[in-house]
Amino acid sequence: MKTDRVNAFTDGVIAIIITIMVLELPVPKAAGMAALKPEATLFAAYALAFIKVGIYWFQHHHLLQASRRVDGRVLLANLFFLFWLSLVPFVVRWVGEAGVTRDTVLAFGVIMLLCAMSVAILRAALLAANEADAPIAKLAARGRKGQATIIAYIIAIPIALMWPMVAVAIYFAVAAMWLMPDKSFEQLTD
Amino acid sequence: MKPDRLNALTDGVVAIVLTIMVLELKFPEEATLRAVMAVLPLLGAYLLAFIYVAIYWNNHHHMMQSAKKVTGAVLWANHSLLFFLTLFPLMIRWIDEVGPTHLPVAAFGLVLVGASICYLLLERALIGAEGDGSGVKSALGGGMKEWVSFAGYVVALPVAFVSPLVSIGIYVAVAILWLVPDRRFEHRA
Repeated sequence: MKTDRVNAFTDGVIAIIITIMVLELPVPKAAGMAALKPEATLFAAYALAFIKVGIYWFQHHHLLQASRRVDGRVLLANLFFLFWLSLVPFVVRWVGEAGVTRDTVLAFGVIMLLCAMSVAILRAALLAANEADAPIAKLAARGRKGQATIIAYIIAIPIALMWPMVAVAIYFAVAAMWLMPDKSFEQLTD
Repeated sequence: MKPDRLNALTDGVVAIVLTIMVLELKFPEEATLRAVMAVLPLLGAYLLAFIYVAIYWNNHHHMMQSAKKVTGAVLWANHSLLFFLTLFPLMIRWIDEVGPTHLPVAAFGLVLVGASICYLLLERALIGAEGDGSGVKSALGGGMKEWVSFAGYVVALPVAFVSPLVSIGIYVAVAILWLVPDRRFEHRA
C-alpha cells in the first residue's frame, strides 16, 4: 500500500489535536496585568504540549518520507501512536483544572513515554514493510534520539513523584533536543 | 523533502482554527436593538480575526506554490506560525469576556507580531532550503508588505494601552493592505 492515505489521516488527526488544545485555555476575567498571572502556567503547558505534538508530527513525517510502502501492521502501529497522542489535550485540560501537581506531571510523562514507545513500534513496523535499501533502513540505524527520549521519560516518571518541577525540566530538555536540526536526515531523503 | 505534508497539516490546522472561532460567538440575549448592539464588538473581533487567519492562509498558499523543497527549519518555522494562528480563537474569547479593552487588544497585536515574525522566518527558511535559484526568493522580492505590516503591529501594541480603538484601526488598515491581492506569486504559477 502507498503511504498517502496514512499520511493524510495522521495529518488530520494531529491538526485537530493541536488545535482543540486552545479551547482548554481560559481567558482572564478581570482587566489588568495581575489577572494574567494565574493563566501563565496553563499557557506554558499549552506551549509545551504544542511543541511536543509538533515533534511527534515531525518524527512521523520523517519516518514516512523515508518509507516507500505501508502494510496492515503499520496502520495498526500508526493508530496506536495516534491514540496516545490524542490524550495530550486531555492532560492539558487536567493541568488547567488541577495545576502543575505530582499527578498531572506524572500523567504527562506517562503519555509522552507511550508516544515515544509507539513511535519506536511504528518505526519497526515500517522497517519490516520496506525493502532493505529503502531510506528508512538507514534512518532506523541512527535512532539515538528516539532511544534517548524513551530513557529520559523513564527517568522523569519516578522523579515526578518526588519533584514534579524537575520532571518538567526534563520534558523541556527533551523538547530542546528535538529542536536541534538534523541535516543528515535531509540529505538522506533528497 | 517535499512540501505536501506540511501543506496538509497547515490546511487542517487553519481550517479548524477558522471553525472553532465561531464557537465563541453569542446570540443577542433578547430581541432588542440594545442586545444586538452588545454582541457587535464580538462580531467585529470575529470578522477581523477570520480575515487575518484567511490572509495568512492565502499568503501561505501562494508562497508554497513556488516552494519545491522543505527542511527541518521550514517545518519548525511553519509550526511556530501555526502556534500563533491557534491563539486567534483565544483572543476572540478574551474580547468577548472583557470587551475591546487595553489588554486583549494589545494581546491581539502580540499574536499578530508573533505570526508575522514566524511568517518572515518561514520565508527565510524556504529560501535557505532552495538556495539562490529559489522560486520563493525571486517571487518575494524585498518583502515590503511584510515589513510594513510588522511595523504596524509593533506600533499598535503599545498604543493599545493608551487607546485600544487606534490599535484596532491599525489592525484593520493592515488587513486591508493584504486584501489587495498579492500578485507576486500568481504571475509565476
